[in-house]
Formats: sequence, C-alpha cells, structure tokens
Amino acid sequence: MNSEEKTLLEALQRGERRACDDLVQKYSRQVYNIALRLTSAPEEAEDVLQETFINACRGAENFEGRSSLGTWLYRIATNNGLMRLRRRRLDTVPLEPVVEEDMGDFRPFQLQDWSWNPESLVLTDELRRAMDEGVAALPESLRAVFVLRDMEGLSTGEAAEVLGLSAGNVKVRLHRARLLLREYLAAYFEEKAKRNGGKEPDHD
Amino acid sequence: MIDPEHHHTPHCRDLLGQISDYIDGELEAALCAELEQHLAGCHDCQVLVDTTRKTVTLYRRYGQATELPASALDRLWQVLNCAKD
Repeated sequence: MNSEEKTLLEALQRGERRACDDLVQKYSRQVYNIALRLTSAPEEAEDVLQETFINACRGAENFEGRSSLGTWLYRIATNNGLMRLRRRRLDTVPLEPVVEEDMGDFRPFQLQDWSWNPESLVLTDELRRAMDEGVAALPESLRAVFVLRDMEGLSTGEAAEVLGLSAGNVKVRLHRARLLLREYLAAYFEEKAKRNGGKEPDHD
Repeated sequence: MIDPEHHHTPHCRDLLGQISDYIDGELEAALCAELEQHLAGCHDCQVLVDTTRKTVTLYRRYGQATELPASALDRLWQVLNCAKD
C-alpha cells in the first residue's frame, strides 16, 4: 500500500465522507465489472456494487491495510458475488454435486485455425453475448479466477490474494478456464462462419 | 486435415498443461525452448496456442471496454448518501 492509499484508508477509517467518494470514483467501474462477470446479471451486479461500497465505507476500521485498497475491495466484491451465485445454486439445484475444477481427461476438440486478428475484431453485441455465455458456463471457481486475471487484468499474485488461493492454484484454474473458453469461442466462430458462408467475423 | 487421435501423444498432452504459462511469458527458459521446438513441427499445437492467445486477447479487450452504466453509478451515490445520513 503506497502513501496515497494509506492516507485514503485513514480518512475512511475516520468516517470521512469524501474518502468514500474517492473510493467510488477510483474503483466503482472495476468492482461493477467483477460483479457483472461473476453473476451474469446486471441487477445483481448493481446490488453487489452497492453492498461492496457500503461494506467498505462502513467497515474500513476492520481493514488492517495488509493489501492494497483495490485488492481489499475486489475481495469484498468477489465474496459478495460468489455468495449470490451459491445462494442461487442452492435455490435451483440442491441435489447435484457441482464439479468445480476437475478437467479429467480434457482434450481440445476444436482445432480449426482462426485467421482473424483479435485486436481489430469488432466486439459486436452478438460476440459479447457469446463471450458472456462462455464465462457464465464456467464452474464458479474457474470463473472468478478468469474474471480477475483475464478480464480485469489483475496479476497472479493479486488474484491469489483476492481469492485466498495459492499462486499455483490460480494458474491451474486460469489455464483450465482459458481452455474451456477457447473451445466455447471456437464453436461460436465456426457456427458463425457457417451462417455467413465461410466469411470471417467483422473487423474495424 | 486434423488427426483426431493426434492429441493422445505424450508430447502434446504435456504441452496442453503449459500453454497458459507460455502465453503469459512465465514458462521457464528450458521448457519454453522445448515447447517452441515442438510447436515448430506440430500444426495442431500451434493452432491451440494461437487460438488460446486470441481468446485471452479478446476477453482482455472486452473487460477493458465495459463501463459502469451512469444510472447504476447514480443509484450507488444515492445509496451511499442515505447510508451516511
């Protein structure tokens, strides 16, 4: 935690209104995105966003400053988001055990080359939907790691701190999530190419 | 033409476990050299690495492009203001 963050944390702990506003200005976009990717539901993501900042602004005196403010907030947001997922799961499928991480004998199935450049591909609504569906289909333990690392750009160490996992465990889960999403997107692009008579996806 | 049995070879199975570290530039030098040597002669594994890297790039772009809706931010300010009062 740098000196600027320490000052902000101390102001939060004194209950200064301005400090909470600064926290929102700086982190609300990323907190919302983490919540949205975890829950796949904008209304729930907004609830998680609100809960996270209420928890943070009211509970700052319990935070000892051992991690950065961002890591602390993302931990609160991730816990709130995962709690909602678990609650939803208990409401809908109470009897089935959930396979979290075991990929068993996973082998890549889709091995068609993608000739397009991902830097200039247009993120159409349809593509965004497909990408969202891919993330939503991930087991939740893989989903949290993938969202933090590959969508929000946290380092392996930061993601490990947020989730209370070892760095090695984060790497294993990230790897599995990437392979599953690659399969998912490959199937989407193949199906889209068939629909478009073999044409490539849209580019800028 | 893709050989459906191809990924049963031990080399490709080993590779499958390393591509994430490779993409992140975190694979140790000796393993990296071995992997690149394998990639040079294995089209399927090249495709696997390339499409996984493209998947990661696409999701990073998507993550960065997503904004917090202004209405959600307004409601957050309202909730926090009420919570403080």
